[in-house]
Amino acid sequence: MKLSDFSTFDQTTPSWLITNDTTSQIVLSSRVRYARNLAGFPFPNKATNSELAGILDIINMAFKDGERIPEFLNPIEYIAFDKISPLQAEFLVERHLISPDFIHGLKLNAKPQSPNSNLNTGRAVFINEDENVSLMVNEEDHLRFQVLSAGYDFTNGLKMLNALDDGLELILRYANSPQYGFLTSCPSNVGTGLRASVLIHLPGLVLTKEIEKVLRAIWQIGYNVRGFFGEGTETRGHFFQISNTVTLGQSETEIVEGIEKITNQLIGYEEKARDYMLKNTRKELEDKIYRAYAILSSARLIASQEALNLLATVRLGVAMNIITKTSIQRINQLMLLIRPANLQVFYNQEMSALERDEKRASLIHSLLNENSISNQILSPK
Amino acid sequence: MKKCSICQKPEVAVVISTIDKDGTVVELSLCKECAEKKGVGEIKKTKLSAQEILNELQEKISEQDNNILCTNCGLSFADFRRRGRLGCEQCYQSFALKLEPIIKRIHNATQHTGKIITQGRKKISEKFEIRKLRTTLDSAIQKEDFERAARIRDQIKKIRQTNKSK
Repeated sequence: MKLSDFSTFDQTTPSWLITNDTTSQIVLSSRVRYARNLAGFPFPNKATNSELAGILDIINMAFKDGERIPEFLNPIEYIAFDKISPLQAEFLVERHLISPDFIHGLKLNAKPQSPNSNLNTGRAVFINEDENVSLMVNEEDHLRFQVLSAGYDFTNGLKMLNALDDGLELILRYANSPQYGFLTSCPSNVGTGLRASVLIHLPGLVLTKEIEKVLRAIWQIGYNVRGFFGEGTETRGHFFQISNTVTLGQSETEIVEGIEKITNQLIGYEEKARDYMLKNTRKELEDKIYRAYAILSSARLIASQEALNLLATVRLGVAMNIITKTSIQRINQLMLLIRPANLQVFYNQEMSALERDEKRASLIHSLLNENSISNQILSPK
Repeated sequence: MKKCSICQKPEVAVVISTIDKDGTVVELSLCKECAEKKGVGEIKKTKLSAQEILNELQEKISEQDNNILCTNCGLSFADFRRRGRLGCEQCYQSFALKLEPIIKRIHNATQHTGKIITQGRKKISEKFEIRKLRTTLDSAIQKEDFERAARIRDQIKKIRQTNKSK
């Protein structure tokens, strides 16, 4: 990915979307992130512009020093926020490389110092070439870095995250206390500063109307669930993100194990729901899936949300061997490429909503069927 | 369509029912304009949002929190309550007693059991220390806190000198 030059955006897929693993039919991706702050500086919401710039400088120096920075971060792309367009920022959000708050929450974070003070001073993100590691500077905390893994995999992700954390810790001095561990701007992250989450596809539970019960139970035992590809509780395409809420009093491994236990349980429920549908409502299910496939392969105009819903339905069809003309991986790629900012970057042109709907339909049309000639343009790196 | 009892405009914004001395109910329908002229009721929709009411109530209750300040960054505990964000690492000590129950409620724990910072690291690169001090120096100058600025400048000098003598 080359963000420095808008015209040379790669058309490749981030590594965390590429997988042939069967467990990733239900779990799309796994994510771990640490929140850290430098000792001796106020947290971003209380820092002056010159302090924010200083923090960014120090982190930049740490990367340039390089010795302690793990190999998987080489080469790394550095993107300063005062240099990118809103479209490029949105592109990064859609690719899960920065949080929506990082661009939308700027006003909330900024101190009204002077009318011309730049809201993006000191804000930047580092992204590695595989796009599975990103590091935000001066979001809610001085540092928030994450590792995204394809499918259901925390072992490798946590190992990488720790390697990066240990490397940085040797150069930077983190704010910490014996009682509360790593100190964060919001007390809800204090302790390990670890947030672990899975992005999980649960169409079986949605279609059999069991989802409400399951989600409520997850809430009750203290984990967080939210609909994905949507705002707040609204869910699109039956994707959910499950994450821990507790970061203090449990070790990093215990936190990840907690998420794994819940995920295993959810996979079990989802498989049961799919079996039930195959045995009891097969025709209805097939009809729903083939209709979704038909619309996707013939629509001439399609909005992002409708496309996401239909793709999620076809994804279920592929996982259940009802649709064989396409693959889980192809659907994963499409779900990313058809989103508004990614679509415009893919075609390398700014588009109106109508133009996007047209290009989106034609992109899906040419890529949905895995055997079509136009496949080459999506070759993974 | 009902009409305004005063100006006969076919618009009624408020109906006032009054009971006079002999017990008869008299209804008066008024349009917005006439009602305002008569000073009846709060015709203008109140502009208070639910959020504002909540904030104001919280402010009243937590007025004392305005006086609890972080000794390092100056954040008041009331500010923390409003925005949910602490201002610096020192806030954890400045608000220790008030924070503990909040942290306990969120995490059901008050003691970190995860990764600990490496204790074996002795030398933090002077380069980083100097860069950090420079930044604090800049912001001290911006805030016209020259006394502090002078102290920081001396610190930087000291680090530079010990570096040279090595």
